[in-house]
Amino acid sequence: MRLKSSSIYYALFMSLIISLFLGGMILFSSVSKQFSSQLALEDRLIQNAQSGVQYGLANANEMNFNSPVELDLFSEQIDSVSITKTKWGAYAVISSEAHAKKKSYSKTALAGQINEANDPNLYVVDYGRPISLSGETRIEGKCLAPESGFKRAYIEGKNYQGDMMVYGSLSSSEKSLPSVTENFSDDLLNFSGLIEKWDNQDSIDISFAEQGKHFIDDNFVSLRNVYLKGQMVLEVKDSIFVSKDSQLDQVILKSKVIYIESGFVGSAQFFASERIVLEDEVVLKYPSVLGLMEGETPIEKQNKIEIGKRSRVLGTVFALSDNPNFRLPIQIDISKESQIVGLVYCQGKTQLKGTVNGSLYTQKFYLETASSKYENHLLDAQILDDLPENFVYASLFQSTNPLTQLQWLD
Amino acid sequence: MARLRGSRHIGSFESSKRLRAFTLFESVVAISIITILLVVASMIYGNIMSSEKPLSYYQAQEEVNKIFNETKAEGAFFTKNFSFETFDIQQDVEFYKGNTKLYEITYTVTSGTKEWWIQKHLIANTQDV
Repeated sequence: MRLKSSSIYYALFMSLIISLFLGGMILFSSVSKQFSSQLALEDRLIQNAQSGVQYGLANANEMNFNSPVELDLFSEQIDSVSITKTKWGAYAVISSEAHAKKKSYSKTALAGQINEANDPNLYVVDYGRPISLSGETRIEGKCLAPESGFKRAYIEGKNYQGDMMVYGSLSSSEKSLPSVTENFSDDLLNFSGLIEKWDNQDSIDISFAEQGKHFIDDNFVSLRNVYLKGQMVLEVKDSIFVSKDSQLDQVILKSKVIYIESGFVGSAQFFASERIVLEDEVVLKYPSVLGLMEGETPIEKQNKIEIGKRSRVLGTVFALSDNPNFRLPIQIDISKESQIVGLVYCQGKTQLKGTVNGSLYTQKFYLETASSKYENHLLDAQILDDLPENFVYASLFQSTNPLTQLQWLD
Repeated sequence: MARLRGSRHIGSFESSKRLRAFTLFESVVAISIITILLVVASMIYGNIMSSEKPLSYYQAQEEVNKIFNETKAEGAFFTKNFSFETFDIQQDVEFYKGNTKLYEITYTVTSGTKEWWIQKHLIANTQDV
């Protein structure tokens, strides 16, 4: 019989097991530390990217478009950010990319001008004629109107129902509208995307972190059952039809004429040179823009924005004219039961039969009824001072105020 | 009786003809190896445990985020101190490099005398005209 004493083998086996266990612990510890430091770095990058956006919003007036600003945020040599201001239609976009240790993180924000407490709710240019109110017209908030003020009128069998002419403050307006930012119209499509021919794509989603696309078509484009989202511009020479089953989000459409079918719901910026028509019951969600920009050479056509019955626009509506045709001034027509929440700016005539909750700037009012046409008359119109706090308009006016973030862009 | 047993025992060893007698040495070596390894293991374990962040560290992170979001929402950009059971958060607010358009908010999180971390944010001053 032979007795083997093998405790050394057991010991070696045990030491192997313990070594593996220790190795595992060391590995786990090192991975955990690395992971933790990566998370801390990513947190710092996110915070710096957000701080970069805030820097861009605060200093937007000093920044030039498409010229990145590089800075070390907190002067600690690890907080470098690159901040860029670009245009996205009537709004500004502030992008911030934070870098540290070969890693980067970017944030992009859509921004505009915040609704200030002292912004007028109504501004009508003083052409020496009063504004006549009738029916259930109600004007709230800060009002700048012709020196001749308001008077009661009897139209279509309706007297003015209100106790007061203005439910707020009233002061005299100037003989012209507050001017829009210099080059505002020219900069609207200041966009450096890849130019492509429109090929009737039915689904496009372009992140604001990527390079955008500028689609062009020479004729007429009908958008039916399409899904368009993100950083894309569709510019069509003749006209664009948007059907009710189309899904639009953040995109820009530009043409001579834009026609939006009844029942459409979406958010986009629409720019036209002749006409924008919203049929009844169209909803343009925040932050949408309807912009009519009459060219330098006035044409013998009535250029206008028509907003159909029971439609809602949340954002900004403007009609600009570089060289107004005084016989056929540019128009905005807001139908009965329709509502615009935000800013309306018209360098021509506005027919208000619905509601503007926010600010309305216009040269004149007009009113067409079945029997007659009136100037500077309002019938059953509502101008309300009930905008949500922090409501952001398009950057239409020259302002020294910082920009305000509207939403994060993907 | 004992002698008889011992002789039996020797007899059995003798009958196996060959005897390896390293058991004691091996046992000492084995015990030494295992002891060293256990010492190393406990050192590593202690080191890992001491470098792990306590649960309150993560609670402090949550609190800083909450305080920052509340400060932004309320627009209450003031220097403040927030004391919690196991940590303190100092919120310092100043204009960023003297630029009144931007607030620089610094959060310093401490536990006792130990500084856990510092984080900084910029916020646009929308009231500045």
